[in-house]
Amino acid sequence: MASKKYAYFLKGNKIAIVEQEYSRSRNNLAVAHCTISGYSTKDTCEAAGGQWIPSSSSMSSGVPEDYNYVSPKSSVDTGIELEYTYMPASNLVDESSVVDIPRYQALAIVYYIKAKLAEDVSDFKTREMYLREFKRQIEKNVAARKHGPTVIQGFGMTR
Amino acid sequence: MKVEEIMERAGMNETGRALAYIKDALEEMNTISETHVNTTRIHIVEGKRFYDLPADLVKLLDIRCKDHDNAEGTYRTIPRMLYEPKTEDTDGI
Repeated sequence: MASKKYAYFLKGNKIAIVEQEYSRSRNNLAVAHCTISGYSTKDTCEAAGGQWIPSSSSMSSGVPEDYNYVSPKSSVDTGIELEYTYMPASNLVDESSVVDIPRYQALAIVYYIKAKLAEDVSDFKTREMYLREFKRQIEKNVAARKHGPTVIQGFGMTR
Repeated sequence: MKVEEIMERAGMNETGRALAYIKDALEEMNTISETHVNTTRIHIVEGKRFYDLPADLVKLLDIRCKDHDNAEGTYRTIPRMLYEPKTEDTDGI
């Protein structure tokens, strides 16, 4: 199995996967030379019956052309793996539905709803306050799952 | 927690509106932090450049490709291109 190089970019609602194409032939730099040794100019080379090979360059408009990204060159089963967040709201149909989140995060939803209710009556000061609480509640929940101190390694021992 | 408990805490009695707001909140939560994470795999098809994103996607966390920078068949994170490649995809697929 050969190593490949992929890259992606987003275009609208689609993701584009491209593969790096390596064209070695474009990358070979040739120094001008004579097919007969001992001749360093074109005139003397040709006068001696040799063939003058001009120099070549891989540079076109200042950009190396040896790496080029094209559409995938071969099919790969389950070749792309996407990791993403999703909204777990498919089971929400009535009051008895259970929101699939921990209790602590459910309290954040309460703040969000209160913010929306304040927004409906154009009370933007209250809205901002509840949205702030909503974000704080989520951040507290995320922080609570990280155990231990945050360790930052400096460069103290390099002197 | 049930929807009715959230409604009581928020002082609401309109179920439809509450459900809409709860869905909005869940989407917002998943945009800010990763509360619900999923992983899916898609086939790479020769010559096909554009692939559909999952319908329920809120935030893209990582994109990995098989055989990227390795020959062992493992999945590795691929880089995002700053610019579109100069080789156009002529068939638009």
